[in-house]
Amino acid sequence: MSEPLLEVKDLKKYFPVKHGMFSSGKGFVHAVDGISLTVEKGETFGLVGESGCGKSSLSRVILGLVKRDSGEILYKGQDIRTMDRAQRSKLRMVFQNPFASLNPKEKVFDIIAEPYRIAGQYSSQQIEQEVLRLLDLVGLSRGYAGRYPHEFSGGQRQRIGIARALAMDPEFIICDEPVSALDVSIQAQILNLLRDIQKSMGLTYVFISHNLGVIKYISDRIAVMYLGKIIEVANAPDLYSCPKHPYTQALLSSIPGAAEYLNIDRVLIKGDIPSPVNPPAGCRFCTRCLYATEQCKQVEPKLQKVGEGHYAACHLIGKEAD
Amino acid sequence: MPVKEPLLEVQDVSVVFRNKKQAFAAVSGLSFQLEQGEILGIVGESGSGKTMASLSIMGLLPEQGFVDCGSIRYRGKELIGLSDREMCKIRGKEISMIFQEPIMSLDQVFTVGSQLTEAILTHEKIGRAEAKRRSLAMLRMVGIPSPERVFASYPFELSGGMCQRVMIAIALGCHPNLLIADEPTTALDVTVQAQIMDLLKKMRDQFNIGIILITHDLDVVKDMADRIIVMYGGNMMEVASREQLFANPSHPYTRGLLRSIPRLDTGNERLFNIEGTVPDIRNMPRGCHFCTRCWHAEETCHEKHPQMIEVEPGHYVSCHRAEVVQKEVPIP
Repeated sequence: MSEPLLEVKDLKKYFPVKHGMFSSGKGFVHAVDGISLTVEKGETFGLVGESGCGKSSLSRVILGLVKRDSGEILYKGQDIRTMDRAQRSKLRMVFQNPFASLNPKEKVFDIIAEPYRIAGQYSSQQIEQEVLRLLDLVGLSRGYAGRYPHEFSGGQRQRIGIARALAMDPEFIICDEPVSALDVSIQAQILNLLRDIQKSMGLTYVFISHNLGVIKYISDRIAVMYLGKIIEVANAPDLYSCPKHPYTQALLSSIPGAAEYLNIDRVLIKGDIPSPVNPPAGCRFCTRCLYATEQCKQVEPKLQKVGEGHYAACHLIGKEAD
Repeated sequence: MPVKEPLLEVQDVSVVFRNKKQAFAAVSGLSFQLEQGEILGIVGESGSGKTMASLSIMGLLPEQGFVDCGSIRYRGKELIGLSDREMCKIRGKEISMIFQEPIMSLDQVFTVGSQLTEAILTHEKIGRAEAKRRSLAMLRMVGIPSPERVFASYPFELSGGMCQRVMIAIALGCHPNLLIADEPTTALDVTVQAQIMDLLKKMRDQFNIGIILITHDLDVVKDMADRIIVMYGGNMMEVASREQLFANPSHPYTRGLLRSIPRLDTGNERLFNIEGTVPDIRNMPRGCHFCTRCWHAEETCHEKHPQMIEVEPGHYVSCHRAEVVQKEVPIP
């Protein structure tokens, strides 16, 4: 196996919860709690989970937008913290809300040109050339360069966001829910665009979404997160054809119409996701799990191999043939 | 024998918005009927007019908007032109509504209990104790595990899924005959969405209420609705039973939508693109509203607004070229 492009080892990030001005924090949100993963070059690694499971925090910690508490993040074998600016510009991000992630006071041209200006080694002709090339690449008319973000629709803004992320020839892009704010017909346009660009530029994606259909479509491998932990990792077809973790099964079966496609029983899980401030001891999912035993409530399960490239964190796997 | 009246009959309704400079139609030519116990799905993207259609039934249109023509009859009673006072007697009692953002649509400074009992006391002459008893029963019915605790809680103490259950409890508190659910699960996670959808179905079976379910998610209506209206740019594009719509989608827009959703049962071949974006509602094309994005469009489509035609019993399409469209490659 080739060396992974990105390697994350036992990453942790806790956010303190403050109550009032004078108290000194009454606990921590366990946003990212001991996550390890590897991303190979050229693949799309999907992260899926419900709101509050820590998928966005994880992406921000990986890119260094939020400081980690402990753990290692290695990009091509090198710790991300020791990389210089030129190397760091190979790692980029596309954000969820195209209405909030573009500066409304900047013209499209300036938004896309900013990385080049910061790098400082480009002449203004070169910058112009690059910006126009990127506009072509994401399917926006060159005439849009002089306009402001408010003049565009959601889908067009997301294209601007993608063009910005593609500046300076990146290698690795984290897409944090890039299509969840968009209408279905526009969503398909953006997903197709992301795939085309990946092919033509040889990019590696980490793709975050709560939409299981979108994740299946775009990803090669998928990790399912629950309360700051990865509970299952598998190749995309395996995850959907034989989900091992009870949470993954419940998640898949709660997609409208899923039972019909996936040939699984509909499992309705009770209740809501618990607060990440005081996650349950033992298995994080034990409070909602239909099969939870005494062991699940006390001992935290580790990811174990359940198939080729397929890992799941559940005590019950192998014990019971359900 | 008198002919049985439908629960709700909407006929040729247009919703027009007017400001100082111009007037434009957010919805036009909306017609449908809803029977008791039926779930009608209205599907469309943002700007398709689906929310305005529902607000016009409730008489809750924003100030600049009004129903320009058409009629909305609830059990034979015309709702358009009713005074606010008369409308208030129907709203909440006969017709209820739940909204997209459950946390936003509850008042944060009152307890769940006071909001629940308020709804009941407004419409029925019963005492507080009786209202509380009924509220608790409603909370239990919508599957809230500890009704007493939730009754005394404030909305901000509850999760989104819980708040939506409370909203449903409030909406059903006076046993309405018609419930309008406007994107009830869009703000919620899939596992919670599944719970809420199951609850709505259960409520329909139990009380035999009619439900209008408004959503952008075709998978949700496929699971829930008996009949489906597909809207685009303020117009109805296609009306059919669920089976008809998914077996034989006959409007290019419906077909495009179905093919542009990443599905679970197919591989990852390239998604179908509907090119372009929804035109501005103030600046809709003269002919068919979809003609600027349609791959079947010809000259008539740009010139003339298509009429609804019946392609099979109960299946209506507003497209000049429906016959050609139906011969297109079938949807997998």
